[in-house]
Amino acid sequence: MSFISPFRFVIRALVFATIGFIIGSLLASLITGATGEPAEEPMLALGYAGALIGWLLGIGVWDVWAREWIGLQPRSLNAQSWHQYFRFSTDHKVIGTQYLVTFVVVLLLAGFLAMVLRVELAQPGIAFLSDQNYNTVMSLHGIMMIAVAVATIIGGFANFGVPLLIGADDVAFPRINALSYWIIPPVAILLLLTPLFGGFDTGWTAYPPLSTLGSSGTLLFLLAFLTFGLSSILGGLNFLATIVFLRAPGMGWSRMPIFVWSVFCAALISLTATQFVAAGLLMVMLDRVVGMGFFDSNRGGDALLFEHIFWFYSHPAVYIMILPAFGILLEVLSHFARKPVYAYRWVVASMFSIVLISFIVWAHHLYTSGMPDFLHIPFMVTTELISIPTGVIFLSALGIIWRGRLWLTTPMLFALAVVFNFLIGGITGIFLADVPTDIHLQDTYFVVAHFHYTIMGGEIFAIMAGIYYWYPKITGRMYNERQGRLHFWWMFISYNATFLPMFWTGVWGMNRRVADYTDNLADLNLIITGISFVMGASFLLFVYNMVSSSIRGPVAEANPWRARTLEWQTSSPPPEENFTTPPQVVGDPYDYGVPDSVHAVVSPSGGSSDGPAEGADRGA
Amino acid sequence: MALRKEQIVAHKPSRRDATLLGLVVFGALMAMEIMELVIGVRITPGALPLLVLLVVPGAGVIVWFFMHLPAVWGGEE
Amino acid sequence: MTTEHAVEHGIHSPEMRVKINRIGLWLFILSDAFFFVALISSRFYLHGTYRPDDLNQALGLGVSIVLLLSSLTVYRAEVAASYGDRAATQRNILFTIGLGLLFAVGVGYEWYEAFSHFPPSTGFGTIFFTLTGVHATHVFSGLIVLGFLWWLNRRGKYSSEETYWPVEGAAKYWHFVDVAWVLIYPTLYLVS
Repeated sequence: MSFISPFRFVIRALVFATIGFIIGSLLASLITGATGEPAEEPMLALGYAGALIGWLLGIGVWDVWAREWIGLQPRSLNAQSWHQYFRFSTDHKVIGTQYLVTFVVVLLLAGFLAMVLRVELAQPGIAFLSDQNYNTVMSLHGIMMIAVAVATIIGGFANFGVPLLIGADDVAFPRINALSYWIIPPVAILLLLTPLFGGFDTGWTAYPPLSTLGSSGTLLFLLAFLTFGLSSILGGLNFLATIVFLRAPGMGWSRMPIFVWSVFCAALISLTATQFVAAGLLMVMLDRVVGMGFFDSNRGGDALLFEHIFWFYSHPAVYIMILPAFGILLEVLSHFARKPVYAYRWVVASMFSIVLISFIVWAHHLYTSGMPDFLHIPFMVTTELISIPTGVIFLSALGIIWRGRLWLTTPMLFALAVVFNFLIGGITGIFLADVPTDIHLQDTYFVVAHFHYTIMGGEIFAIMAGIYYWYPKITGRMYNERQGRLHFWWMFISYNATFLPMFWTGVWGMNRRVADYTDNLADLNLIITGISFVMGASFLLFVYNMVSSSIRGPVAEANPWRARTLEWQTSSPPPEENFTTPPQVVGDPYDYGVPDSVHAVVSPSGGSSDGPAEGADRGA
Repeated sequence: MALRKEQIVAHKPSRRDATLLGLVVFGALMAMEIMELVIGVRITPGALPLLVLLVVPGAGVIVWFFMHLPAVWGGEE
Repeated sequence: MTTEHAVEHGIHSPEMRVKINRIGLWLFILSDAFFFVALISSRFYLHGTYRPDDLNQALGLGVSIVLLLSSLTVYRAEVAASYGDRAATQRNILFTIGLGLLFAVGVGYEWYEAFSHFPPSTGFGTIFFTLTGVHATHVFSGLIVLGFLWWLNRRGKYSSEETYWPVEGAAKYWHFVDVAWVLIYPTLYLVS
């Protein structure tokens, strides 16, 4: 019994989800029985809807929330024990940790799938996967990594970090916050079930007409994507309200840490643009399940519509990924170079320009899709335009490094690697923004290399910087610095050696999303496969370091980096209310080297358990 | 305590005024709807710009008076 | 001392909570509006300003007026709640639910007619059933919320000015559903 009790809410949720599935699918079979349509996919779709509701009620929405709707007193499921990680806890630190752990696991799973792909691609011809299985593995790798890229920072770090960085005791809507996390496990379960339903071969982009045909695995994928979008919307809403209302007294807009600004901008995008992909996926499902005619030209539809709607979300979505990564980058660079964020106001203005421009660049994904020609030039211009604010942020990073006294810890090394990788990713992006070169490079490994340089080299490296940077704050223990640096060099070198050659295979005509390629590329692909396994192995060291340090690592002090921002002025890990007394912000967060400058006054009388934090406010 | 109520309902009108406002807004919306129908049925090609001219203020009236959009910034200090 | 101060005037004070909730609801509405924008733009992308002849214009106008009227009643419920008038709140919530159900019946009848003129597997039918269906889903969720409100208001939950936020919130959501219809109605029935 005592073994079960920590998981009793999960078990209850699974039971409720089963009941919900049965109710939903029965309902669907009643409806389809009346009209005589095939019943399998409607049963899956409605059954899933029922299961999702059941799951959420079971995990704790009932106790924490729904009791209120019928006039009962809601119950809190927060507790000072590890049990709360397996139920509907509303503590933002718990939710942030849940997000981080979940998505590091998803990252490893999706990384494993990438290894499977590389084995298949080691030699031309079909080695061990069928075309359909290759496509399924490729699509799963894609959608899982997209989920990691979207949710790890804005779900994990933003949840854990933003309330601490702005001196609040929680987010604006703690229950919505918990909801946005607990929507994720059904998404993961659906995606893992897709191979049992025939897999799906659309890639993560789900273009019709392929996605309106094919096996039922496609439907599961569409449902999972839609649910994930809901989580993303709720997260964005929460952070906007949190940042607007819950800043500590004295923290004006110009004193906000740059990471908070970047989350604010990313939240703006995820609040609005995500609805477009939700609408697009709903249309695909209606075409598929009900037989409507959005994308079927026989029924008066147009498949190109989906690409417009999809990329209206999915291009801004890359800024949901990369903007908070820039936030972490500048944050870490500033603290470890002991210099203020260079051109702070320009960076904030650039982030907002990126948000605005990101909504008018989507059609650069459609240069070869048969879109009217007169749209090519406008979208080429806007796409090139967005590189200006991005360049400003990049220059700010260089400005921080310039003549700084760099403290080369693991997070700093990862941050510097972001600068290096993103430079390559950014420059190669120009060839894809320009119509003449893009028509040649579209759908080749050049594109694969480009976005892995921006999203993996830019964002995943920034996530790594963030994990190492906030590790002592989250776990209360210090990671092993030697292993951390080894992981960095191992991953950095093997990462570049894996993806740099892909620019050449792409230029030489290797198609993405295809299991086979021409024989002249065999040697290069064998090398890439070999090195990619070296890179995959580096993550094992990372996981070992994280797990073993959280158990045996030395106890971390409140402020091991002598950083000035607010999260370091409380104990590690922070108490449930974050700050024993509300902090009072009196100065800029990044005034390193300015004598007598103080960011915030945190009364030491509250007595944080890991020693007083006063004096830590001062610059190095 | 009195101040706090003021903050929750910024510039709270008298109940009679509020009722009157509701009726006026509803009347305006009805007029809009009927004009739309007339335009939609009579002007068969090219009704779109006229409809936009009617719909945008119509939706705006609901957002402004019924949903109290100004309270979003009016209630802030 | 400081903590007490924070509770009185800081983020945990009732008026601050209402402000936060209000902004949260507005953000939700903004987000949801994008969903309708996506669907409405699809209509113009796929079919331009094409309009079939067999739309039931009288019924379209009828349900629109019913929904506008329900906006008025929910507005009155909100005003009544803000003055602590429980009976009037109760009455107007009930009116709104009734009008909402009437609207749903109207749309249901339209669906019944539309099935024979332009079924969901045809070009215009696709748009028509999706837009009205998504909107009807919003109406139904609004009706469920109003049902809960009616139940809780009967038990005196929103009797004072400080606690009537749920009524205000539900009213805002209901108005938003109305605004969506104000845009959808000409998009489907009147554009040509």
